[in-house]
Amino acid sequence: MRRMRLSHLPISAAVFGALLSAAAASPAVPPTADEVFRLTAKSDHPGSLLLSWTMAPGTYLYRDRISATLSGRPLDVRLEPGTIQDDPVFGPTEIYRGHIEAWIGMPASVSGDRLTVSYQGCAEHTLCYPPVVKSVDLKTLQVSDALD
Amino acid sequence: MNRRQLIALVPGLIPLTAGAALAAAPVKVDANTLFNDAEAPVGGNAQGDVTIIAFLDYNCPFCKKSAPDLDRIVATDGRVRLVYKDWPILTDASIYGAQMALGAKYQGQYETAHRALMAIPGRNIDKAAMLAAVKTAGIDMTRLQADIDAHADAITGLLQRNLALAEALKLEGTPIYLIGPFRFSTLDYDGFAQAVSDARAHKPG
Repeated sequence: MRRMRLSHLPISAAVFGALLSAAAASPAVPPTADEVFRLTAKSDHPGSLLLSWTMAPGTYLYRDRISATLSGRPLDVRLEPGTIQDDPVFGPTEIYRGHIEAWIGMPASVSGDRLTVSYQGCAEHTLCYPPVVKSVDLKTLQVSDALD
Repeated sequence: MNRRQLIALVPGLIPLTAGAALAAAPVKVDANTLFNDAEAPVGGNAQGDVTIIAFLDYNCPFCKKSAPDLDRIVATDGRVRLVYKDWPILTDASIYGAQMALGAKYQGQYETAHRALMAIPGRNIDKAAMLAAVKTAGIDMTRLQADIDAHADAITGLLQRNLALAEALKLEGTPIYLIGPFRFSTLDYDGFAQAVSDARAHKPG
């Protein structure tokens, strides 16, 4: 059986959360979305951006849950076809495993310093992850939590 | 999310996405919010010596798979306190279902609505199917709408606190069961039984 310690109850959720987070290295529960879905960004040409996700074994991303916005405007996200999975959540659904890249066309008419990227997936047979929202700094191409 | 953005009991009226709908102003949470939120539905033995805190979504297949075994361990053990944390993260309909279940609490029927929603067969369950399931379960729908209207702020507040708790605790996804000092994802009956036993063994003397 999979498990991990919560430790004793602290007063603040921040401390409580830190304890839980520290315990996350045990094989108890599937790792967090950030641990299984690794997003990087690079730009080979001005006006375009390449996003890459690496997914841990046993996890997958939904194609229709991948999106990007710049200054609140939805952008065209070009993805290669995925595989159709008879998904326990959504039925027959296009998904990605292992690695996927997305080309983002950056419209000249929209300005902004940070791209917002959203994606969502599951760990097979155990758990569905909440949506992940990341921010890509368009100058440094560093990826961070969108709330940072 | 404010009162205007809450549901009416007509499918299709939730205007926001699952992620955006609950991501409102920062909400302060602490351990007391986790264990003793006065708005959170509680099942099982209120005086039980082990608490299971269940973070669930009504479109989560693994939540549905675990639900009968969770009910069974609570019933057979007799000393488990079960705290429901509706954490709708998967679809807009998930929020709709959570709002209906929490609204049903005011007529003493949270668990009736909860079980009806968890028992809906199939996948990607939409709002209409959730509404039908709650109706069929015998919930007083006129009262449910009235309670959702009257307690909109309380329902929204609870969902926001649940979201804040999940984020503060860095919960991985749904389902997550906090059982005594341990955290689990999908469990079967034997898994729940072992977890409850382990939790008792780790209680401070």
